[in-house]
Amino acid sequence: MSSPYADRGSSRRRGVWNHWVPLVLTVAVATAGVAAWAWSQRKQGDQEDSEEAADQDLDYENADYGENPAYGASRGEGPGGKPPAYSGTEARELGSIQKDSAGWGAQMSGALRRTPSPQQFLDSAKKTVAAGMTAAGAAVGSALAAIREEDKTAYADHETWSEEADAKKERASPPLSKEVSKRRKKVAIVVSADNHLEDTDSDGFHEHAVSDILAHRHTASSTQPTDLLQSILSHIPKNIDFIKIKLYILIFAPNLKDTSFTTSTTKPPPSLSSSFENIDHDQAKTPGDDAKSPM
Amino acid sequence: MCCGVPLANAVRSVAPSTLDPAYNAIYCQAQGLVEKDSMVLTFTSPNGHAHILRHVEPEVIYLQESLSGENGSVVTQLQTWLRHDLILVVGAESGAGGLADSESEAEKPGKGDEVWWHREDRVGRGRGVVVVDGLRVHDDWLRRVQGKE
Repeated sequence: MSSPYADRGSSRRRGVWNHWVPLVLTVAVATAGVAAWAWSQRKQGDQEDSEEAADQDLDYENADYGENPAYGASRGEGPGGKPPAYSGTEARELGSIQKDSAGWGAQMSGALRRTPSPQQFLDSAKKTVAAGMTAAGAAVGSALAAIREEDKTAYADHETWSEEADAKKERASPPLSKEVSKRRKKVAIVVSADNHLEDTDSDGFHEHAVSDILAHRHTASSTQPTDLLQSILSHIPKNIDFIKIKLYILIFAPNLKDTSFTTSTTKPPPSLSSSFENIDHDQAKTPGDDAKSPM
Repeated sequence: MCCGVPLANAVRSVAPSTLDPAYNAIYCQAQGLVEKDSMVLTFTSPNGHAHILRHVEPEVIYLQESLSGENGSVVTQLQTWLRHDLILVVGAESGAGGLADSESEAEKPGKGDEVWWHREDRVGRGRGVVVVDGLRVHDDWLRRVQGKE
């Protein structure tokens, strides 16, 4: 006889059982699924050959992970016991331990492909950071060394360069002075010493060529000839730097032609006339006299 | 300055027994300026300086305005090879200086003729002719030849 209370209690118990078991089972299966997915993902990085077999052995209903030794502990407790998520972390630890034995390159590539689990991520991150630090340190060190080396060579170069420059300077200084002398600024001043109104008039050229100012100068030159004629040259400073300036002064002296003609008629310059004309008659006769005297 | 015995010697060496006091004076002054006596060149033909300058090829030429030829023909001749500006010194002969002179207009019949260096097409900017008053030659020399401002 079952009391209605008992029935009710059993039904309530049954209801609780019916209510809680599926929930736990569902949660367990879901967790196991997530863990299995994570495990499969991790396994992909480690052993790609056994990965497919592990995937095939996965049974989501019983949360049985087959012959995998990592799940041996969790399998005995059954699906309703310990959530398989813990076994997942254990497996992860195991996997990381296994991976430590694996090569660095495989671990790195796996870490790149793996889903990020905190510990592993930390591990790999640590390792990566450490490796990066060492690599960066090495790079910086090499760069510093290179820079120091460059500096050394640059300094050595500087010495040689300065020597070279000094030598070049010494070598270039004589041609420089030569160039300066060649580059002396040539300045020409053309002035007129023509102050004879009669000569210019007779010349005929200046009748048309002269401007008003020249005519004015002619009228004024009768009163003060020298002062006016020196006007341009008197404005030129006396201390001319002949290293930089090569000064030519051209003087127009039309009346000089006439005087030179007159002087040439009266007394010819010795250099321009014939050398025979310079010989006096007495000197020319001396050979004859000498020839005559012994006889 | 040099108007003593050395002047007499110098003048005699270039132009023997010249009796032109104006030439003597200007030669004396030129001799005091130049480096060597041979750099004072005397020419007698009206456009002889054009040929001399062609050979000397100076960078700066101070040309007295009265030697620029008729209508600046000598300047035109010089500008066929001269790459730099030619400095035309005007008013230097007149002592009083200045571009304007009233005396000459009364004397010369051709007062209506404008001097060639007044024309814009001859002495404008870039024409190669710089007109400098005789009193300004010193400033122009300092600026142009000695490079001082």
